[in-house]
Amino acid sequence: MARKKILLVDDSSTALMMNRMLLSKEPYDVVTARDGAEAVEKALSEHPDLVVMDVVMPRMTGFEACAALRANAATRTLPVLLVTTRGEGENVERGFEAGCTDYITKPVNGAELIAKVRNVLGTGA
Amino acid sequence: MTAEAATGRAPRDPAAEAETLRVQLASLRQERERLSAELGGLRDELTRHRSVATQLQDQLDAIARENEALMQRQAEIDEQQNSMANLYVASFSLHASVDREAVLAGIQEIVANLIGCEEMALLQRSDTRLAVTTFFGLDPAPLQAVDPTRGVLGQCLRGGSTWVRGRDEAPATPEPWEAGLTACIPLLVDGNATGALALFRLLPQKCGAYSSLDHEMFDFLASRAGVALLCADLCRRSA
Repeated sequence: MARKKILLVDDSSTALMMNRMLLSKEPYDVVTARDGAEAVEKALSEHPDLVVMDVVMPRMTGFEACAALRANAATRTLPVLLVTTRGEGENVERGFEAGCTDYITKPVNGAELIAKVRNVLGTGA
Repeated sequence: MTAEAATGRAPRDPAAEAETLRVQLASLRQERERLSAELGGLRDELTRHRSVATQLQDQLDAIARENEALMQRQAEIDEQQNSMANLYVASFSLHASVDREAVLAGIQEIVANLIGCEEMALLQRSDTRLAVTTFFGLDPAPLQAVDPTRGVLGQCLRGGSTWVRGRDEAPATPEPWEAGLTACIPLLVDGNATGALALFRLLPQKCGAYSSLDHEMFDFLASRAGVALLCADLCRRSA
């Protein structure tokens, strides 16, 4: 069975590296994108099984990218975990309106990230 | 007419009947002895089974305790790994470049993404005063004329140690601008404070408290951020 692939999206190289390191303990392949627009492109070309995406990014925000993924037949059902700076109701509600599957808050807790990823993908390979 | 005649049965021979009863009694006694011996065996077996059950229960309890200890150890290892990952990523961000702006951006990313603080100012010594060299989430104006000898900042710069609200005592006369201060981290170069990182409001999900990972990050920033900035300054001057 092929390993599951995760697309990590964040404009911060620090956050990208941190999330990649946290996920490196698990049997997933990881690809990255630096903003929402690149995320949409990579979702179509890389065929990930899950997108873990920051909200505040240049060119296209996480909310906009999530909505764009939902509008495309090829990525309509692709699970999206949004990484929000603020976990308050309004922000979370906006994420779900954009079509996200779930969300986590910054600073990302390793155990929480892995639990949510496993919840969507299973244990991996 | 006798009773036997009335019922049509043959008259009983008391001696034969006694003999029959004696034989039956002997047989019952034998049966009782056999059953008694069997009961003894069953009791012994029950005792053995109970002993085995106790042993198994003890083993089960020991395994449960071991399992709990292993889970605890696993949690500790996970925390250590998270801490190592945090410090590795922070170190990478801080030392990825000798360009001053990149170093400042690295410090901002560490504070925002790894610590989870949404208001920060970095103050560096410039002659006899401190100047705000980078910030986010706040108005830097009140910080432009701070007295580096007073309040939490003064204590932090003199002692060269990090101050964290709730963990460390504040000086008797904190400065007005320090009201919202949650941590003050000196930027040390060879033990001398060349400036300080002032952290204010935390993200709401942190519930107003820094974690043990954050404290490790403060130690890292205190010992490395000043050196990284000094290296960037020296590189710029020598270019």
